[in-house]
Amino acid sequence: MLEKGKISTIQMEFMMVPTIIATGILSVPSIAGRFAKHDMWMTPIIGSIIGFITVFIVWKLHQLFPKLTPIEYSEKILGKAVGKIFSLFLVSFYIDNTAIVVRQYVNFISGNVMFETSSVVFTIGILFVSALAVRGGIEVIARSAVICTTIYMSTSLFLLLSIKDINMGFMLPILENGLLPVIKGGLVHSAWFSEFFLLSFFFPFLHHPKKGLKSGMKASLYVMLIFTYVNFFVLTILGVSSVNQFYPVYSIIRGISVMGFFENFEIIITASWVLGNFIKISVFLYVASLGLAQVFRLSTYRIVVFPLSLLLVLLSYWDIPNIVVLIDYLTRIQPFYSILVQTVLPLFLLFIALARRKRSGST
Amino acid sequence: MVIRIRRGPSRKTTKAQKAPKQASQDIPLTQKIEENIEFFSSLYQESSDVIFRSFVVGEKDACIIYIDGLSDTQKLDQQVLETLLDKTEFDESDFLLSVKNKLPISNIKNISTYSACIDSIGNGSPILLFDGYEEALSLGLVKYEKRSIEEPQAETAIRGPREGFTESLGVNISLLRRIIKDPALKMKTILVGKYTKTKVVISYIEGLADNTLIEEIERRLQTINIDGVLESGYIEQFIEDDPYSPFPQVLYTERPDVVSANLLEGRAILMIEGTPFSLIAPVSFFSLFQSQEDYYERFWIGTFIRVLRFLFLAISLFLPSVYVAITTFHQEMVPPDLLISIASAREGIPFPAIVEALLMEIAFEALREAGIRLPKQVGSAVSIVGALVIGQAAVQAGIVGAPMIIVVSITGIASFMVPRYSIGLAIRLLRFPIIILGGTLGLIGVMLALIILIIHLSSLKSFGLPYLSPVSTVEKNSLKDTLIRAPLWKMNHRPQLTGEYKAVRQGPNLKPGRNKGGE
Amino acid sequence: MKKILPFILCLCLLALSGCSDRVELQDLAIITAAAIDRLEDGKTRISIQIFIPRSITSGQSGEDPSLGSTFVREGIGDNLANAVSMLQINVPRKLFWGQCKIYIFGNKQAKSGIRDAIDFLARHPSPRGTSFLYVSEGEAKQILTLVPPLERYSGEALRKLTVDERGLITTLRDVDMGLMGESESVSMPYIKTLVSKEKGRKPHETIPVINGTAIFKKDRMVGVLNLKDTRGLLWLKDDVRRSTISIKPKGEDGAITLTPTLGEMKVSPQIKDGRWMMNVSIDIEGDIVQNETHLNLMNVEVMMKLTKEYEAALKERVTQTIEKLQQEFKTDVIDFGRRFHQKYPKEWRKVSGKWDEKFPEIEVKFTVNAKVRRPGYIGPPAALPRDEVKN
Repeated sequence: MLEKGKISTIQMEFMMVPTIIATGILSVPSIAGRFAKHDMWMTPIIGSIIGFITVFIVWKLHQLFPKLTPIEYSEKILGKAVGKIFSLFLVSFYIDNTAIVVRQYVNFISGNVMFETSSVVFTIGILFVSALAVRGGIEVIARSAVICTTIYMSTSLFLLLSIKDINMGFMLPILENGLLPVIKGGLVHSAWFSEFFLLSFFFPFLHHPKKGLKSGMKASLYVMLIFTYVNFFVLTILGVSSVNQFYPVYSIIRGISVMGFFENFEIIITASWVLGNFIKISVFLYVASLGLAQVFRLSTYRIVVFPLSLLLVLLSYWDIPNIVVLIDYLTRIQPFYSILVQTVLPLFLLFIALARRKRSGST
Repeated sequence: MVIRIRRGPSRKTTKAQKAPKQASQDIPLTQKIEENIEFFSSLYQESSDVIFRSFVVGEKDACIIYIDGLSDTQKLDQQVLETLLDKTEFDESDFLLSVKNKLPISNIKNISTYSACIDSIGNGSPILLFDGYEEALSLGLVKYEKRSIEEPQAETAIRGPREGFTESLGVNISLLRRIIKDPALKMKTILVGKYTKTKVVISYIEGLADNTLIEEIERRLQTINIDGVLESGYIEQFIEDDPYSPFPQVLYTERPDVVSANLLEGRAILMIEGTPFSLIAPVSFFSLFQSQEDYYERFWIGTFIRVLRFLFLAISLFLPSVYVAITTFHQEMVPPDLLISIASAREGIPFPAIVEALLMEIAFEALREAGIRLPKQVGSAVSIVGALVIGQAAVQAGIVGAPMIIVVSITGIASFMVPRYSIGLAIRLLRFPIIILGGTLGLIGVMLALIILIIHLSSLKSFGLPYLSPVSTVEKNSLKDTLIRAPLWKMNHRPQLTGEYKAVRQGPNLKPGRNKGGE
Repeated sequence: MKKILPFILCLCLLALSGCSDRVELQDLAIITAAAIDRLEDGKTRISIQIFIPRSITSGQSGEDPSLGSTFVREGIGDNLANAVSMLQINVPRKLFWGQCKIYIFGNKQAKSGIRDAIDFLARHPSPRGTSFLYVSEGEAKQILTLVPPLERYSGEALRKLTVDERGLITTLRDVDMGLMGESESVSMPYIKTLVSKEKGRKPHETIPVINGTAIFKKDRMVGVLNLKDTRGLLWLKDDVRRSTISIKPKGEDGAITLTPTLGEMKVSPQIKDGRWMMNVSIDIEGDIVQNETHLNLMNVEVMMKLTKEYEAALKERVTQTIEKLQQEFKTDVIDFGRRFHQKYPKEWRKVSGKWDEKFPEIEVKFTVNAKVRRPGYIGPPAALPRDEVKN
């Protein structure tokens, strides 16, 4: 075992929630809104179905191979050669995804808060702290996650300050164009929900592995509730015009004003969002480095963390010139790509594993 | 009580050159008193305060060796010498026993090696040698000047016991025994320091404290190989888990009630001879914010003060850096009228805000340090000059902006809110790198600093206990005593420490009410 | 040390590269309000009001108070973005837009279209969605040059007037949403310079005041509602504010004046046999503030009559406004379009492209439900001999 640490189920929930949400609340409400319009508050509920399915698949796989990560059991299921290729693909998928997450983070910071500082400073900054956490091992990530998530999530209560501005009328008419646009919008969300496949890297390190399924489902539910909460506010405050915004949630927060004195505190929200994003990048980086070390059978994953972070600095600038391309990627490619890799492929893995087990059991 | 000599033969760290001397001290006493006296007088050469008093008892030569000032000479004269020099008959068949029986001293021990004799003399117990015996008597007539029990200066309390530990280990132990009378309270003694031979007592309650914890503490204490222990800080720095961390991983206190409370929670206490400060281990970050008075007052007040403390912890850590970050990066965050006020106050200030902040913080730290070190009579002069120079003159001369003075003073006050001085020191230190980060990357920099801080605290452990527990490990029972202070009748469980522990602290359904009791 | 060294190195790296966003407060020019005008030659001019921080600290040193604590600079360009970029040339400090919450469009600019300007403001990260937008009577720039006697600068006076006096509030976000929404129209407060009749005050020592409502169809101003109609508009927008209404009971030569207080408006669209109808019901209460008639308000019957009159007066006021909107401006600034869309999505699809043609045809029905809540401290008219009071 490369990882000796153990985490509790509640710590795992604290890790997973910001992992899904941190970048999910940036542009996703408006992307989903572009399809679903007045019904965008429903899209997370549709999207979460993929989340629940993914958690269930991961759990089933975990039950078949307790104490093993997907990198390890894919070799057992698919055989040595195919398994190796699959796990290499999986690792590169997560490396690529980490780069995209970093890029989203940096785009947001340098496009909204720090306009003139060169964005590479923020790339290095966040990757450096994430690498520090990852080197500390899963226990350190988990413990930091509890603190960071608590701070991060408590700032989401700021949205409640804008409750006087909401206009429930924007939610009408419900299901004007039928359910199809909502499903389309939900698909955008489900790309994020499919990231629950990351759980497969955490299940082996639980103190009480039996509670894993319940806790994974709970995390998925929390994520759904938070997305719905956010989309509700986006819709009822900004109306349909929110689909024009790259960062609708940020626009709402910019508009919050309490007693005409406490206003313009979007920078505080951004700062606390940095905490959430730190957890997200740490989790991704951790999975990527652990996977990499397991594929190449290294004695410790800690040595690959800093080289990998350096690589990610470069990768995050590769191929994404601006936010429009990023949004286009998030709209048209990622939903299918993410679900394919993180939900459909594991489902196949599960089928193959079950079939093999049945055959070996019957003979 | 087990006394272990640190430099035993089993210790592999002992350097080869020391070995012969060590061995010579461990050899037993000889039968001839001349040789024994010869040995001690050569050992205490040029030590005018060591008294050798030779006399004859019956027909045997005898000698008392003690250090002047450490032993009670009055008792020695009246009780020992009078008895021995009197024409009392002693039983020749078992001479030592009969001497022991005649002497009106409660604490008499037979010792048989040179090193034990040296320890005994050093501790203030005179030794009594007889010709023809390989054993000596150590007479427990220790007496030296000590401070009386006073109220602790560093940890004052409005409500609570007024006793504080003193420099005398015996007094401290007695204070503790007076509070916890159960025999389960154990005291293990270890000697540390080649020259000082300081007694370090590991105190714990058997059954509450984790055994592996006690063993681990013992192991760490035994690896200490230094010249002397002058204060608990010496011990603290040698047994910490992460010596580079600015955060204290062991807590110190001079209050017996605090020590008892920690003992009852299953922690171990280290009491060190010669200092009123005892060490508490293991601790978590949140126990640094617990003050004994939180528990003595009503729980609403305790909770309120806790929350206030954490608020002011954040303020004292981040206020200057956030101020710098906001005024140089995120001006739109300041409400318009306030921005205009700050802008006009800063008009004409030559320094950038970050330099201004660093300057003022350093000046403030200097004033504070000078205030502690200076004699009391001069201290007030310094504070007046400081207040005038830094407060008014600097603003009027247009060197520093008035808002910065306010920020620095609030920060200064906030750093005194923490009940444990050692964490305050860590915060003072960490403020500076955070100001630099805040001044270069704005609030994002402050957040990066916070993240690094959180990672550091998460990876820190105190004797195996995660430093941020119970919050970072989300233990529901222990959370009752962190940010909030639950009512005493609700805290039915001890905080989770390392390893095995007895979880249940008190009976269930202790909530007082009208229906409880006699009615 | 092994752990700390890379940390310090990284810190230095960040410190070296991170400074480019840093602006000291004393290098900032705080903009308090901006005015956008269209010039004769079709160019856009932006004027900004910049706060002088020194004016607070050296207030007593005998400076001329009529100079105020602000000054105005301008930039001219082909469009707003160019004009803004020209601004910086004339100001030695870095322009700081973060606190600028007042944007005033000149009359001409408003008439020729504001879409380009709105696009710039919405796209640029500094202006906020909650900024207030106004249309000025003449040139917008002259509003900025006013020196209010009470407030520190005219922008603040305008903001306080809007927030406290509770006129129509239009923010940048409202405009964006309004022009994008079903009705494709928006309304903005229409301001003018208050003429100060005080002797001893120079003509520019006064404040801008709200004098009506500018109605925008698409992005062009099509007309202005006067103050009276503006009040009707406020009721229609469910934004009832403290503004008095006078009624003249039959057979009396004076009037009774009320202040509407708590009010609620409900609109329910209805499509019946192809006829589009809007039922507007207004629930309102009012306090009597003045009685010029000889009526005794202690009398229940008088009060009943009064209530009826009050309802009629309200109805008339609102009808007048809606007629003006429907017939004169043909502009749906009260968002009837969205109500229809929400209730009748299918029917809406047929008219969605030509809503401005459909809007004037809508029948609006009012039901006003008024109550007189407080007659004031006294019942009968004050200072009137007993025998002249009519019961």
